[in-house]
Amino acid sequence: MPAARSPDPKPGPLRLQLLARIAAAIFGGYALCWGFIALGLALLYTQGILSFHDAEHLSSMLGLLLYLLVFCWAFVARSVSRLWVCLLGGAALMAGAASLLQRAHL
Amino acid sequence: MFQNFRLAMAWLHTWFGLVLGFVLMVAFFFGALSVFDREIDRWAIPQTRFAPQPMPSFDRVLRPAFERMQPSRDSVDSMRERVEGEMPTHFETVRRWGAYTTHRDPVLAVFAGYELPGAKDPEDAVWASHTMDPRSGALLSEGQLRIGSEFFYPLHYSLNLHWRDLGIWIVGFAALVMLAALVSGVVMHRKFFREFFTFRPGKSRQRSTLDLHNLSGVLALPFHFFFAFTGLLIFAGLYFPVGHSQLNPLHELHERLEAQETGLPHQRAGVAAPLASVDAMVAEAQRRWAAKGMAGEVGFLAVQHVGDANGYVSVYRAGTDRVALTGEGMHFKAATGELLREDPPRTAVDSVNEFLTGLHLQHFRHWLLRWLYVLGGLLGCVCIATGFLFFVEKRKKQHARDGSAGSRIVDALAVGTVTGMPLAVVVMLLANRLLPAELAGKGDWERALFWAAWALALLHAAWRSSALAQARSNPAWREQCAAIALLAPAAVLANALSTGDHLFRTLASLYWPVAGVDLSLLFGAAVAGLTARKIGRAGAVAHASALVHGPADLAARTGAALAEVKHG
Repeated sequence: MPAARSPDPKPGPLRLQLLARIAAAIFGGYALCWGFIALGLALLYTQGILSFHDAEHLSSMLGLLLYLLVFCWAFVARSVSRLWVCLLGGAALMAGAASLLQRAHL
Repeated sequence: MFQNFRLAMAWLHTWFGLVLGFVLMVAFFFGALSVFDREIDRWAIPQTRFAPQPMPSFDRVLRPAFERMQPSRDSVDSMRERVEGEMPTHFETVRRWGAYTTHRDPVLAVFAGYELPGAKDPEDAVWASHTMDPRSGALLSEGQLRIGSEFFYPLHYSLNLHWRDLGIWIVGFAALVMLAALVSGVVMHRKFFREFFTFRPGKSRQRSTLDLHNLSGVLALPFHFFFAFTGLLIFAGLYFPVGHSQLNPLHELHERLEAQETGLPHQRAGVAAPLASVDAMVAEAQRRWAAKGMAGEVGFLAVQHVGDANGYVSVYRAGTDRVALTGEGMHFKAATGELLREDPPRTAVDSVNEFLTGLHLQHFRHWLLRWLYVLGGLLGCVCIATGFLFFVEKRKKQHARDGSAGSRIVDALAVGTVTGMPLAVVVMLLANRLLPAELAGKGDWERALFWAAWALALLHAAWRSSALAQARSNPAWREQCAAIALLAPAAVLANALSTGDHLFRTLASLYWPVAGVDLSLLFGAAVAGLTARKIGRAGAVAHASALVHGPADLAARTGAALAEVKHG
């Protein structure tokens, strides 16, 4: 059975950190997965590896599993600021790459 | 922030599990009921209580009905703002006719989509949707709510909250949290394999509740994970609409290329053309399936670009013996009946996707698996409910001492969900039998009574939760169990009196849809009644002791009383 939780009532900075982690898990995670799915779809389709809907389905399947991982990671990551940088940065990089692939292909 | 990985996972499991657990209860409970959604429909709409029928003849039965159809008033009203100028009163150009049936359906679903003249978005359409008796071609009146497939089923994935698909988003988030709760639950419990076999009802209530929580979680872990994951996969296009937004240009390109490849025209030609015999096309499709060694029934029939030279008829095989819902589509030129295209075998990725989603949606014929699904769903409910109970048991003494309302609120919400939900179901079914069949808007009344009963159950639970301020159990648990034990048999009786299909008759004729619902109601009543009695005895003993010996001894005595009840 789990031992003691964090001290309650939470002092200010801890509560803020917790909110930051929850936001990272939900919204940061969503952004990262959007980027992942977009990149997966664009890459697999434009490079002729899979048909459009196959690329969509495969990217979604893997993207959802990624969301689960990232969601849990948000609460174990040691640095919250590094967590956010990774999530948003990764999302931007992958989504950007997807749009570039699309532009090159059309 | 958290001292270690396990503690972080414990926090995640407890707090996200608590908040989203209420949504997950709805998803699992109504998901379990949805396995038999069509059977509940039979119980609720007695005029459909006949054997399942195959897809009827298009030429003789479906076509006359389609030609008489016009869009529904609701659909027309909902599209009014999307039209420039006047909304037409009659809709001439039919985009699509469709008919759908499965091996469990005595009645089939038919729908028609019409072009919307003057629409701001040319893709917009207005729709007609009906239930048809395939033996006569008669359309059933629209006021009757299909309680199973039209209410319980959408409730489990959308909470029947349709504004901007908010309900689907909430359930989706709950599904993600379910996955996280399963992962974190496994991380938290080191003695994973031992917990398969641990259930100590004789121990303190807190210990035995946790045991049951772990047992029901671990036992059906693959099931719980699978259903949460595939549920998310089914709506993935809604949660991540990448192809319709950021990568829409790629999607449009794909559509254009595919239309060229398949030879199925994307647009109307603008030239009128007759419709050849669709029955002949269906016969040809069935001949071709049989030639490939997969003879089967028609699951879905559709006519695209009705009345136009570019029109085509699509015939899909029913997935009665497959995991995929429908498949092996054959497409024929509408004017001549010539075969345009046979759908190629599925790609690997498509097969995996159809398999995963098909296992969740489960339209194939396999009654044992169907019942296992119900068992899995109910185990999920037990897991979540015991989670709530454990949360409250662990904290109620502390909260009573501190004057905190935490466990009181959680307990009231738990009663409202765990017993309030089945209570609302029973009230809705009872109302279905008591309200006259010809009542206008009967479906709306049934829906209103469902929500009202649930709201009342929540209010009752909140009112009775004052007991938690003294670290005692909420009497609402027993009272709502007793209410279910009374109302469920009343619903069975109401069915017998209003339709004459009492259990002796339905069991004798082996009409399982109605017999099954009646038996399930009686089984539920028995479980609720036994639970009410058990809680009553334990509660009475514990309460008397508490007055004499004080809160410190309460836990020990409750455990002893439970052991007594078990052996008594």
